[in-house]
Amino acid sequence: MSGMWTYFTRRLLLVPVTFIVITFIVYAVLRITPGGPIQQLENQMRAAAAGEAGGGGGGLGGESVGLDEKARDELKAYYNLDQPIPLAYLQWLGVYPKKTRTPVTLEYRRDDADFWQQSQQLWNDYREAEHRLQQSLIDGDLLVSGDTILIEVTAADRSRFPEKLNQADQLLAGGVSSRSQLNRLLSGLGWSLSGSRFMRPITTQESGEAGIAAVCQRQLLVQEDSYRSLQQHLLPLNIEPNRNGSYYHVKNALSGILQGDFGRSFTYNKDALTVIISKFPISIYFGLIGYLATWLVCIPLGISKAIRHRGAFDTATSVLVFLGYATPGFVACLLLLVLFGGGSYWNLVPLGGFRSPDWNQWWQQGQYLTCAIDQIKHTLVPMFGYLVGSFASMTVLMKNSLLDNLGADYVRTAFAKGLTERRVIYVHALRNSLIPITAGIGHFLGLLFAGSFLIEKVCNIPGMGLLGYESIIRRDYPIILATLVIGVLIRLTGNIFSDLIWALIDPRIRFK
Amino acid sequence: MAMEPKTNPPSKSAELLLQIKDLHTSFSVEGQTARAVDGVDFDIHAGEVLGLVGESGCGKSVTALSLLKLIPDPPGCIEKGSAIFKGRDLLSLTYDEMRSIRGREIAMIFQEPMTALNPVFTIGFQMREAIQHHTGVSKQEAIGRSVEMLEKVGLSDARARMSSYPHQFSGGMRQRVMIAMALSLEPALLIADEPTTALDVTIQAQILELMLEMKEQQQGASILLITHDLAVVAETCDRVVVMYGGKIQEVASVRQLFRQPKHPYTQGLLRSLPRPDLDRKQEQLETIPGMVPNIFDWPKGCRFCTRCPLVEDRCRTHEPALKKVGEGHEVRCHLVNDEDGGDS
Ligand SMILES: Nc1ncnc2c1ncn2[C@@H]1O[C@H](COP(=O)(O)OP(=O)(O)OP(=O)(O)O)[C@@H](O)[C@H]1O
Ligand code: SF4
Ligand SMILES: [Mg+2]
Repeated sequence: MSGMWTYFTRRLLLVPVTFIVITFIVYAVLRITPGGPIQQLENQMRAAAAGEAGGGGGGLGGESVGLDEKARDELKAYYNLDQPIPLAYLQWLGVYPKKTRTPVTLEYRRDDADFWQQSQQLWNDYREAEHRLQQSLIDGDLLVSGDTILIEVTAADRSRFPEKLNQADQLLAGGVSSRSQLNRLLSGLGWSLSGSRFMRPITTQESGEAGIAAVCQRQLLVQEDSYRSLQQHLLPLNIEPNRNGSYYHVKNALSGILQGDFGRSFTYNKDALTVIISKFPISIYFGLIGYLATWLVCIPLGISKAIRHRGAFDTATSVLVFLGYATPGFVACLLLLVLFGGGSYWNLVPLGGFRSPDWNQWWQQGQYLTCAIDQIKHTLVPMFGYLVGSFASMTVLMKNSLLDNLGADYVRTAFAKGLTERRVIYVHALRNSLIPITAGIGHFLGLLFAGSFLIEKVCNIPGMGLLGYESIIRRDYPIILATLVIGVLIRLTGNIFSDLIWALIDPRIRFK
Repeated sequence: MAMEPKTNPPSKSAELLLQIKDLHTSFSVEGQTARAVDGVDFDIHAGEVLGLVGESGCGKSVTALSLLKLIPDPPGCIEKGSAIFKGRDLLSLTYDEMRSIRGREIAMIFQEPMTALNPVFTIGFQMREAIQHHTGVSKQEAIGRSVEMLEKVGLSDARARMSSYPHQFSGGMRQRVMIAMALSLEPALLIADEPTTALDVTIQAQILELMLEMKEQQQGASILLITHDLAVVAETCDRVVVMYGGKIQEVASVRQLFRQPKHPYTQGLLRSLPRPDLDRKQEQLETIPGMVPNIFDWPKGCRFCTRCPLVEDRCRTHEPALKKVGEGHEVRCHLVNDEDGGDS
């Protein structure tokens, strides 16, 4: 027995090592891959701006144009992208402190009323300055980006770079597809795009004059000064304001996955773990049912095929196995949906989803039977998809495994003892031939968690597979990494679980 | 000459236990037929140890497995023949009748003790299941009987070892367990198919001795000992059947076989045996030259004609019959005259 324990402790000790290696690689790859969250955000903003331009009327107001340096740095810091990869990884793990920002609570603020009164005053000053600036900007048809005032490109500018501007006009007319080219062209000139207008920073002459631009420039300085005094005021308490009027405690602390902090999802704007946990049961539900169905179909089928090896039944079902090999699960789902989803043929099953939208209502009304039928209808197609996906390999594995064992010497011994064929097959050979199949359970647990993206997509199931896919497309790092962490953990523990089961069936492992 | 007094009467040959006649077993492999056992007749008497010898592939195991109808079908098939055991033809028994014979009346142990036991069940489980199955005794009784048998085969601490698994035993110990298992129901016949081939020499001797000892304790039990080791035969057997190419070539008592081997094949086998009584330097160990002919295409005449040093023309065209050459001594060779055997 002690041999078994050392074996499992060794396996357990390998878990953290494997875990760290895998997560580090993925972390590093994600950081290196272009198209990170900041780029995504900028793309979104550009697309939004382009959409607005296409829509015609676009208010100027406080609309910002792309991300200026400051905002970009702030975002980088927020997502921990400003740190070198190894350090950022350690911070993500939660073994190296990182700058964390926790909102200041009202209770905390109640303790030192005077201090917060002052803060409020400073904040109000800032807001007033900002307001005045906005007003002037609208009056002067100007924009602000960071600490510079932008003005629309004048006729004089146009005559200075006539070709470039012609080109820019053409690119602008080209719509969203030529937007990145346009952006490149404009940033080469130090200009930017707002709606359908080209903007450039005002010159010193322009701001020096008594015009509206000069007023804006002054008001901008006032605004930034008042913001800075607010920052100064809060600094002794390690509190930072933001420009929306919220206050944050800033401190260096361990805050990574070890502390349960998986970060916030960029796309859901929720804690990554919460997002995953909300999708988890759905994938598990379909995965488990699919797995059960696979077992229930493939094991008896494999056994019968092995017993009737090369018989009529074996040959006939081999056709099914070949079909199974050739058909991916999601294709089977598609086929079923086309046939039974109410399109041109029969209307027996819904087109997808986890439950009907009215499900919860039915449940509250006590229509449990309706609920059950609805759930079953939604389950059938994905279940069949999972079944088809692993049908062929599972059946063949079972058949070959049993066939191997039926030819084994110990089976001959059992027959020579005068045992019945049933007993020889179902007691002696079966137990041995289930070993390779049960050994796959742990691996399958991992798959369960991951969900099949294609089946989830086809059947419109909001599970882990779909979530993982979408988070990769959107570069939603916290979700990708959280999916990975949970996936790796489940797979690693699943492997140990497999070994445990294996050891239970196979004494040769147990005692080695 | 049947009236002639027996010069060397086999003491235990009075009662016939098993009479095999014209046994044919073949395998169809990829459209071809391998006639592995091609007309075998021999008897086993109660209480004797009968050796079955011959080179690898000559059909020894197939003969033994045919008796218990353990030939895998497909590809194998017992084509014809009979095996009268205690008045019943084993080969025409129904499946259930055969099962009541297996393990209970005729037990079998195999060459590979490493794989002949099921790796995932305890020794105790495998010991008692046959006992319970055949006798319907309670689990406790079956366990008691198993422990008793394990003690008899020399396993120390037998009760504790009942819960061990096969891989925790050495090869020799496993074979002891196989013997205990096979003899636990006191079968009339024990078929031992090369029980010691996979073991090292010192263990071999112990296991053979154990088998004989166990047989002595069990009055009237017979052993069919399959081996290709003539030294083993010399030490343990009463009579010997020599097989070659799916056919019996010579049947004799051990003494006859070693003193007057009649068949050129037997003579060849004996020459390849180290003889401690001869000077080693003079002794040149011979092996039989040539290869066993293709099983799918046996030679037309004598099966041994492709390798026989004394081969004649008629050997290649006409198959010799099994001729009686003496009391309990039969040979299949053209060169042997049956007159000294004196049948009728
Ligand atoms: N399951 C099988 N399928 C096909 N052919 C078989 C099978 N079992 C035995 N044979 C054929 O029967 C022939 C005799 O085999 P058998 O096992 O009886 O030899 P043997 O005399 O016991 O040899 P060994 O000393 O190697 O055990 C083999 O040469 C083989 O061609
Ligand atoms: S019959 Fe001929 S070939 Fe066969 S053993 Fe006798 S002498 Fe040799
Ligand atoms: Mg053999």
